[in-house]
This record gives sequence, C-alpha cells and structure tokens, in this order.
Amino acid sequence: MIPFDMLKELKDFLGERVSTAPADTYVFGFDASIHHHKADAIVFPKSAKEVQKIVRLCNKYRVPITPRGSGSALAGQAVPIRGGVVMSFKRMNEIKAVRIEDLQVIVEPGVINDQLNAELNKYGFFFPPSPGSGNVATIGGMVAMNASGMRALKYGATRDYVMALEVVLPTGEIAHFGTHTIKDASSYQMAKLIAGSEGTLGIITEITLRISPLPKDTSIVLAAFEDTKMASQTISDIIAYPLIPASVEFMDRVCLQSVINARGVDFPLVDAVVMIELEGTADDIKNDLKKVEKIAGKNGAVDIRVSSDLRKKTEWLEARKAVLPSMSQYAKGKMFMVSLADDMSLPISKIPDAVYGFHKIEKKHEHVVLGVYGHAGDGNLHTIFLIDPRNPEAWKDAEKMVGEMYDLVIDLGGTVSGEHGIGITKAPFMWKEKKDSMEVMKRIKRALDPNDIMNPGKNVEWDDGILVDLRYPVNLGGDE
Amino acid sequence: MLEEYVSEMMQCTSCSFCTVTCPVMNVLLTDASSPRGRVQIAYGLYTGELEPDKSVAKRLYECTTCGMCDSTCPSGVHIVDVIKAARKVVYPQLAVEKQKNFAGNISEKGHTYGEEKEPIWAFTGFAPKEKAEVAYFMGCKVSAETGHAQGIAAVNLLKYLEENFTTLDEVCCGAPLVNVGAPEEKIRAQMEKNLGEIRKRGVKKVLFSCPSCYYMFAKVYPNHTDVSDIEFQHIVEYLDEKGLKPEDFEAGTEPITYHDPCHLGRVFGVYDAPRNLIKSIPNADYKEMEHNRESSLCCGAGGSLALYEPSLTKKMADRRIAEAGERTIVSACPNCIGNFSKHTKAISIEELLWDMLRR
Repeated sequence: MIPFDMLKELKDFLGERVSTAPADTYVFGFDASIHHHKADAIVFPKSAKEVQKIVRLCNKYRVPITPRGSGSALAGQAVPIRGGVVMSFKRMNEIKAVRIEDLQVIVEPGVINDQLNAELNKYGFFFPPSPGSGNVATIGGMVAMNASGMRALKYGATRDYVMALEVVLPTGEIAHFGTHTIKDASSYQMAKLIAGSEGTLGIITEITLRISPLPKDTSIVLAAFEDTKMASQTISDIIAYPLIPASVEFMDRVCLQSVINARGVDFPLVDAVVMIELEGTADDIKNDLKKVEKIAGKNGAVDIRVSSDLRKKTEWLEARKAVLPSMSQYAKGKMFMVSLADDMSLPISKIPDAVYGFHKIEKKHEHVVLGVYGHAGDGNLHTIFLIDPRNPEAWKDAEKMVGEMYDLVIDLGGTVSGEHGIGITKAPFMWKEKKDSMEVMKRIKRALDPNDIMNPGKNVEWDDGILVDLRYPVNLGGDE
Repeated sequence: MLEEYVSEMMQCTSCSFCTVTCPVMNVLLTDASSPRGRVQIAYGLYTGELEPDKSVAKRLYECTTCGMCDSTCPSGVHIVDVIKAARKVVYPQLAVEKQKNFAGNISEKGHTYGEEKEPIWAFTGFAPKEKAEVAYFMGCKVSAETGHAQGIAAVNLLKYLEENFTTLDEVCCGAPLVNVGAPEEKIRAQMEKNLGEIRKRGVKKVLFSCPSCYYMFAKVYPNHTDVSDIEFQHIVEYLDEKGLKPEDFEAGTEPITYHDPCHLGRVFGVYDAPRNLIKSIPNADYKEMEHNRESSLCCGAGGSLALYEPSLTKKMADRRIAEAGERTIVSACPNCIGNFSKHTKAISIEELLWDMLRR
C-alpha cells in the first residue's frame, strides 16, 4: 500500500501521470516471466528531475520502486514482487543527440532499440547489440539487463557500449557515471556496474552509448543437421577454425517447428539448424563462406542454404528473433511456453555437451517439452519449457528439470545467465553458482540502497524458490 | 464468456511485440492500454483476480479492434477476439449510455441512429427488386457517415456497369453490437433478419461498401449459422474484377492518397483492388502514405471507440491526417471517411470513381 500522503504528493506533481486504477496496477504486475504481482501505483515521469522526486518520496516512505521499459523481461525483473510503485519509461523516449564524430549517441531510457537503429542507419552507423526483442526492448531495459543477442560473438553486449549513465540513486541523488570519451581509466567503472544491475542499484535516466559503423555487406548461411551434437560441434569448429562471424545461431527441431508454424518461414525441419551471419566485403564473405561450408560438410550437414538477398536475410533473421514467442505455436492449445532456465552461458567448446545434456535431462521428465536455441557462437543458449501450466505435476517436473540443467551448466563451467539476467526465476541458481560473489554484490546493494526500495526482492536479495507468485491458474499447494 | 479463450490467453507469452504496433498504445503510452494489457485484463477477469470496474471497462473499450496486434502476434493469439469476449463481461454494468443507446437503436429500430428514418435503401433511390442474384448491402454507416453519398455512388456504378442487382430492405449488420459486447441474441436477431431478406430475394452474392458489414457477414455470421450458399464481397473487389478502363474516366485528379480500412486490409487482404481502381483513372495525382497496406494505421473510429472515447479517436485521426498532408484521403470504409471528414477532406472510393467517370 502507498501511504495517502505520498500518493497525494505524487499526484500533485504528476497529475494524470500517476495511476492507481485496478486495471492498470494489475497489468503492470506482469512482465514476460512466470511471475505476477500487482503494483500499487504506476508513474510515468518525463524527466530525471521527476524521477528524482519520485525516488525521494519512495525512499522517505519506504515504498518499493520497480523501473520498467517495455516489460519484456523474462526472469521477473519488471514484476513489482513487493508491490509499490512501477515506474514506466514510455514517456522518456527521446534520442537526445547523435554525435557521429564522437562515435556516440545520447538517449533517454525509453527509446526502443530498433527505433534507435533506424535513426543511426541514416548516418551509416548502428548500435550492435541485437536481442530477439529488439523491436520492443528499450535501451534503458537493455542496459539494466546487459542485453546482447545475436551479434555478441563479434560485437559484445550492451555493457560494452555504455560510455556514460545518468542515474538516480535509491537515496535520491543524481549521479553521472562514466565519461563521453572512448577511453576512460578514471577510477571505478560505475557505469559498467549499473549495466546489468537490473534496476536494483538505481534508475537510469540518460544513456550515452558507443556506436559502430554498419558492416559493408552480409550473407546468411543455414546449415541443417539430423544430428544435434554434430550441429553444435560445427559451432565450436567454426570458432576454433578460427572464424568470428557476426553471429552463429542454433535452433533445435522444437524451435524450428514452432517458428515454421508461426511464420511459415522456409527453415528446413531437421534436428538442428546452425544459422551463420557473415559480414565484410564481398571477398571476405566469399572466403568465409567456403570455410563454413567446408566445416558444416565435414560435420554431416544435410542441407546448406546461403542468401545475400536482403528480403530473404530479413525473413530468416526476423524468424530467428521470433523463436521465443513462437514457441506457443508448437503444440497450440495444449502446451504453453513458460520462461524457466531460459538463458545460460557456457564456454563455447562446451555447447555440444550442454545441448546433448539438456535433451537427456528432458527425456526424464514427462510433462515437459524442451526447445533449445540461442546464440551458440558466443556460448549463450536459451532453453524454452513447454508445459501445461494448469497442471501442478508439470510445474514440479519443470522445477526439478531446471535444477538439473543448472547443475549441468555449473559443472560445465558456465553461468546461469548470458543475457536475460537473474531477477527472481534464476536467483537461487546464481546463489548456488557464485555465493561468494553474491555476498559482495549484496554489500554493494545495501550500501547504495539502505532502505531496500530499488526493485527489491530480486537478484542478490532473492532467497526464496522459483515457483512463486505464478501468473498461471494453478495451485501448487503451500503458499501458492 | 471467457472460458473458450483460456488457451488463447495462456498462449500469450507477454513478448510485447503487439505493444509497439498498436496505434492506441502509441497515443496513450501505457501498457495498460496495449493489446497485451487487454489480454492480461481479460485473463484477470477470467481468473477472478480482477473485478470488472470502470478502469477495466476503460482499457477494454480503448481499442479500435483494428487487428494490427493480431497480425503482429508471433504467438498466434487472436487478440481482438479475446478483447471482444471480455467486453461482453463488462457490457451489462459498465457500458456507457451512448453505447447502450446505440445498441438499443439497433435492436429496436434496425439501424444505429435514433431518429425514425426511411429504410436505408431509400436513400439510394433504388428500391429492392423481387429477385436478383447480386445485392448491394448499403449499411447504416454509409448512410450516416457519408450522408448517403457513398451508397448512391455505389448504386450508380453498378447501374453504369449494367449489373442486374438489387438493394435490400436491410437492418444493421450488428457490428456495433459486437464492438460494445452486447448479448449474442441481439446480434443473432440482426443476422436472421438480414439473411432472411437476402434469401427471400434469391441473392447469391452480396456486395458491401462497409468493411465492417462485410466482416460481420463473412466472418461473424458463419459462427452462428451456415451461410455457404451466399458469397460476400466488398464492392471494390467486384468493381476491380469488372475492370473499369482508363477510357471510362476523365483524366487527372486532385492530389489524393488511399487509406486502407483495417478490416478490409488486415482481415480480407484487399489491398490491390482499390489501388487498381484509382490507377485506372488516367494521370491520377496519387501518392501512398508512409504507413500503407499491411502497416496502415487505424483512423481511430473502429471498434466503436468514438462512442466511448471520442478524444482518442481524434488523436488517432490526427496522426493519419498528418501522413496524408494536403492530399484528399480516399477510402473504402464509411467509418474512416466519416471520421476523417470531420477534420480534413476525405471521400469514398465509390464517389471518386463516379465523379471521374465520363458519362
């Protein structure tokens, strides 16, 4: 509950940009995760000063704040799990400056990734991180999650592009982290710390990003395999060749079937497809293509398709990006996609073992169908669970399976998240993987946010299970 | 009411792809008024976590049912159907007076407007024939939103082509009833009257000027009864098939652009026919808007939004009018034309063609 006096103060300066309407507080209790918890109020600030006033009020009255971009987080980062205020950045969506000569762009947090790239494209530049949700993901959300996507193999993740951040700290001060220079050895890299902190350390109100020139040309190769292990072996072999394409993506049969059902795309329906995006000059691409074909052929590819046609490339890339939301079309009406253990990062050479191991674990659990895909070229896999969320047995099965999968990831030297973050759903496994590191992070969190108002109950502060505050109509017993 | 949509609602992965393309969301800038938000509200009503109240009704009615979300959704959720089903839950207690009056008029007087009027066909000056294989269903919006002009032009074009057709002693197709969430029996009553009239005259094919009427006959009526003995078509498709020739027209037009009505485009995929007809006019001064065909933006009047939130309708129309610039907006939907005409120059495609015909 929000104290009456605080609500009155909010309304005094935000007017209609604060809502406590039941429909609104209910909707803002969702993101794309399995969790749901109603907010108490929604605020729509238009400036850093307004954000600061809201944060000061929340800190004064000890009311939680959950910042929100497009609400597409997969591990509950945008769910107000402790209630309180949800802060939407839909109205802070301006591209403030494009400084090509300084290789940077300055934006408000609500700017959407694809909109930024449409603008940069006019100058022959781009912001390389390319999440599957790039058409909806806000830059603020991408920084807060350290999102990356398909091109991280060659270009890195969002954090690598963050030059400077304006941040409203949990205690209400406005701090300017980082610099507007390419090089920066000026003390602690605080902007890099805020990137990936999931809104638990402060609220980002302005972002300066480094940008890159667009590649000259690109081609896409689809290599189809009837043996999942050989497909993932191909990925390791490409990297070891050595060859660093812009992206190397992996999709298994479940994912391929889903996206074919959803979009009618002409992907081959096989056990696994490896999609390789090559870029450079025409000669570079020609040479790299020969190498890729040789490696895929050696590993038993049953079909190799290549396209440099813009329309076809876009169709393939868009289909690949839509794998996750397409998963509900795999067994329409019977099984539904739920976001559990959706994201893990491994040493690249361990990808074949991980893919093989995940499917082996899947076979032990009758209520779950598993789809595996991801940016395998950089070691980042996504695993999508299809279950009937109305069936408590399915959840129990899925929960066990998540534990077994993360045990395997940790055994293989991986980490529980490559790009979707920790939030609620992955926090217990992060504690298992890196207890010592989490303890230090917790000290940082408590130093910056002494009253625990900033996206509380997530990440380092989460110490409960994963099947909590489920958004599905199911009774799991206990607290559910 | 919502039980049959449980799978649809659970199929939503909350990816939010629909939120960036929704023209309402892009004006209101709140997730609560996005397609995803409306599906979540419907879900809350179904589970009982959310009680119907004014805020719920507001978010459900703040939608033009333009279908942009349906065509964007990678999870294949029929979002508009879910929204319409949820509106049925809130309609009895939470529909506003204007919506209820509108629905009342349809049931009591056969059309959407309160005053006692002549039958709809009378405005065309062309009485129904006893028998004909082709019928023209004018629709009450054609009468109200274009001052009958679109219907008169349509009838004139059919006469010009020497078609053996009839008008109908029609009643409202029921689309506004579906839009507000009125009870099924009221919709069925409209359907039965219209289908009885059509079959009585031996009609095998019905032509429409209003995409919403077309949608009701071709997509909604079949959910209630077998209509496989009757073919339905928008008049632009029919005229395009007939092939009006450049020599039939005077050359040159004022600067024009074409606005794709949501139902005609996104539901029926009719994009080429109106453009072919416009291009059959020699030297037509024609230019597409930035958002056209599949990506066309809703005019703001769909889904009976104007009854609920006219200021939102106006904001959405403003965005579209800005794209059209100084050009006259040509469209194939009386609702769009009526909405645009309040703020800029707009004309139905039937009127444009009839005006430009050498005759």
